[in-house]
Amino acid sequence: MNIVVCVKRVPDTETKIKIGGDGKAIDPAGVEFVINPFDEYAIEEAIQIKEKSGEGEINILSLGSIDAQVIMRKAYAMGAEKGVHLNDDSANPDNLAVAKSLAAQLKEMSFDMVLFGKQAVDDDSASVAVQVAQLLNIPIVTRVIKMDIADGKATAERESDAGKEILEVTLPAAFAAEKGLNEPRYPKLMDIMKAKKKPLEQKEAQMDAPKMEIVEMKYPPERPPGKIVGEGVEAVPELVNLLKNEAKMI
Amino acid sequence: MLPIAGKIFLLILIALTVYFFVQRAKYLIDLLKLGTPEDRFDNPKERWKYVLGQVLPQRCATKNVTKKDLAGVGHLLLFYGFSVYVISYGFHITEAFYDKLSPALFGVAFNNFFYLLLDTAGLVVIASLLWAFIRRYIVKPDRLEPSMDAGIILVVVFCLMIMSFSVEGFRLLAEETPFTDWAYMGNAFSQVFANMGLQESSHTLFYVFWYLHMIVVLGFGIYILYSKHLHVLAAHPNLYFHSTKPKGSLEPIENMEEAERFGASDITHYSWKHLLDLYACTECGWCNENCPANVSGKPLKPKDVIHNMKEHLLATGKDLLAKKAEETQGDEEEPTLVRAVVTEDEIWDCTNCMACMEVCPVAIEHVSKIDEMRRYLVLMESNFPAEVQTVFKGMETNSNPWGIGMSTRADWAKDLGVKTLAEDSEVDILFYVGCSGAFDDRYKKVSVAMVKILQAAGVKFGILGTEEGCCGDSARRIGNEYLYWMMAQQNIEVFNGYNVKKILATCPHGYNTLKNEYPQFGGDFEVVHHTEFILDLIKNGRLKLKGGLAKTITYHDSCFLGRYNTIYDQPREILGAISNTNLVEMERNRRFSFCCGAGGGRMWMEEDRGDKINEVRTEEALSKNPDMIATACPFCMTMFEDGLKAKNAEDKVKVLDIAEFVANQLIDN
Ligand code: SF4
Ligand code: SF4
Repeated sequence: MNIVVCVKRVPDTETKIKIGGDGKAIDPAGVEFVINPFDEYAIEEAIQIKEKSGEGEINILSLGSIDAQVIMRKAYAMGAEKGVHLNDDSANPDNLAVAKSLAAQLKEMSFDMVLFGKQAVDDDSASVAVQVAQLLNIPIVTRVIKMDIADGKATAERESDAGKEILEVTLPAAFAAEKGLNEPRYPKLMDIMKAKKKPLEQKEAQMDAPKMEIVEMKYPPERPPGKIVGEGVEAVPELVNLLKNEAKMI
Repeated sequence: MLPIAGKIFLLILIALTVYFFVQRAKYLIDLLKLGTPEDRFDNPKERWKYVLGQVLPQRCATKNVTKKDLAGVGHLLLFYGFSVYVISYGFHITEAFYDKLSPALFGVAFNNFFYLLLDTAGLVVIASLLWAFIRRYIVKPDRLEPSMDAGIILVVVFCLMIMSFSVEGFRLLAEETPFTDWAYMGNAFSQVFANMGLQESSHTLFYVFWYLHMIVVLGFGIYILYSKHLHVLAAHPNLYFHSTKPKGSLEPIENMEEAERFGASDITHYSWKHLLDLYACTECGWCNENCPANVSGKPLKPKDVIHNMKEHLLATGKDLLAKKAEETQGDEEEPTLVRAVVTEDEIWDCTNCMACMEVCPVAIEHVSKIDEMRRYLVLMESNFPAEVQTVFKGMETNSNPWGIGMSTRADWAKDLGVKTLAEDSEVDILFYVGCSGAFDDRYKKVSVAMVKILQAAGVKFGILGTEEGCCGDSARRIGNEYLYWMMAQQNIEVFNGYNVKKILATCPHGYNTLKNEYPQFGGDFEVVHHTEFILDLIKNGRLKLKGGLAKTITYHDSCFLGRYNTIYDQPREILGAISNTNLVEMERNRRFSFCCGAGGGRMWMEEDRGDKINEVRTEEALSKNPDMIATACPFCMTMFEDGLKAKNAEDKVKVLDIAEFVANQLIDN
């Protein structure tokens, strides 16, 4: 079972995002970058599938600046064998261009499955996985919370807002991992050391000219400060009143 | 002098003893050689001084004497009483071959004195044996389990003493021995034997008893090597080879990039000194007495860890030696020590509080043993309590265990007019705030209090702001040496970048590791704890304090401040200085202080076995009816505040850091 996991380097969710001077990109100073948390579920799942089947290879694919290699090594430490870094400094916001570039690379690789995180926590667009599957002409299951592989087929459980869906897909196929799929492992030190020596191929990404442009970035509106109505039982009527008439929640 | 046949018989006995003794001793030493190398041969002068200082005045045993536990005194008596006997056995043996070597040789006074000493020693030994017997089998304090081993020894030594008196008695009855007027026990026994009409056979009986007691003595010499009384021989070298590093500091992993194994999963992964520790254990149980894990009913009992490791070493020793000889000694698939001998629960229960090491009479190093096993679990198996993963990740990405955004690290100081070293590096001291001081809402107030004090005293200081990183102590103590190493490196680089010479820390964990462990990575700074620093400011008259705070306060000694760094007096003196404070001590204080439960990375783990350690300690504090509990550590503070909540006492009793006490007492000018 050969698996490719696509990963993206994103700002840590705890980082306070500052919009840069041009108002069109974030200011990277003081920002900690991590593997997109949803991608970690994908990596973990790939490792578990490989451990279970006892054969195959896990390839990591990442598109982005040279720093993407740092998070690729983290994926290596978790258990991936090798990977390809598509170097691209353009910070192209056009997801279709990214998807095309990834798909072109994937066509050169042999795989039974392509795994993604359900979305990257930076732009939250959740579109690349679907676009790549489309370009490769393979089925995709998004928001996967459970996977079973048998006889060239995958049974995947996906979460939707309405409930759960259980799907069977013929491989090769793509999957986008949702939180809850597994518990990503903390790498062993030996594996962190080994990860430094695993092969990593670097290529220039072939990117189409963007058909999308960021015009402006804005902070979310500041949340109004909380209100302390009072203490104990006496405060209840006022609280109910406010919830009803001001917040209109009940 | 003995007749020729007797001499031969004695020679055979001695030869047999030597044979068995050497056999066993060689085996024990071979087992030590299974351990990894460690240099404990430096500084012989200091080491001798230490052993003699411990053994001669019996500091090893008497250091733990309290009103409730006088056993150390008993040991002193037994030690000296029995030592006199060991010397006398030497005389006995030489005398058997060579008359001229009897104590009489040294003259009248000496002979008389010798017998007086011997008889008195015998009585002392008997008295201390009876005392030990009563304690072990009648009083039964928690720390002593009545073991077979202990019983055998008590009885054998008791019989030996009676035999020795009998030998003396028969001898005095059989022959005119000059200068023995002061041998009061010998004379008394001789009188009894005479009354029993044994005068005739006294010569024969003397020989019978003489041989009997020699057989017991020689047999005892061998038995020692097979029993817990191995400590009689192993304690001294163990004290000699004691750690001369800062108390409780952990060793770095050499050559982490190349190493093939991290931590210890098999007994042979420990150094020979760690194995010698096992031989030295006296099974006194002092280590269990004050162990928060044990006291709160958790599986970990430090004495059992040591004892089980010893049993395991002795039981598997032959196999291990055979494997070593065949050079098939490799790492087993499944660890033979971790889980098999010391369970994961035991390994994770430890708070690294060092209460065990503080009282251990023979300088056994429990904490590093346990932490080596943690290293194995974390680094080799990636196996640790689930809740710790977010802590590691938080430290990795945001350099704090909560994983709060790194860029907010200096937010607590926003409106205080504090400069960062980036803004002004010309300072006398760097205030290393630490993660709690920067991120924990409650402890941020302590950082603010500290700043107030520094400003009031006109100290030229700075902070690192967002350039500061987590000290890494929790990671190291949990066993993640790699993560710790990265953080230590990072901090040292930043400190050096600003040419920092002196550092002030409020958190004892940061204080300890910066001061005592960063030098392992080339970080040499003068590090002071805020309790030391504040006391100096007060003494130098740089702080104007109101004084007169009329509250009952109890001070809790943080393990990493007290036992690790012997800071006991400073916080108490500060409390004394700010007021006519009524300072009440908890039952367990200073060296014997009881851990709050948060050390050794336990701060970040669920406590689901046994009672809650912080509640045990909070109850102890509450039993003194204080108005306030004083702490000098962010973890202790959290543990007490949680403890007070659990005991519904958070409205009655407040927890304040020493810095807050002082800041509240500042006179604004
Ligand atoms: S360090 Fe503390 S918790 Fe750990 S074994 Fe020793 S006494 Fe017990
Ligand atoms: S480890 Fe030390 S304190 Fe504990 S039982 Fe052994 S000798 Fe006593």
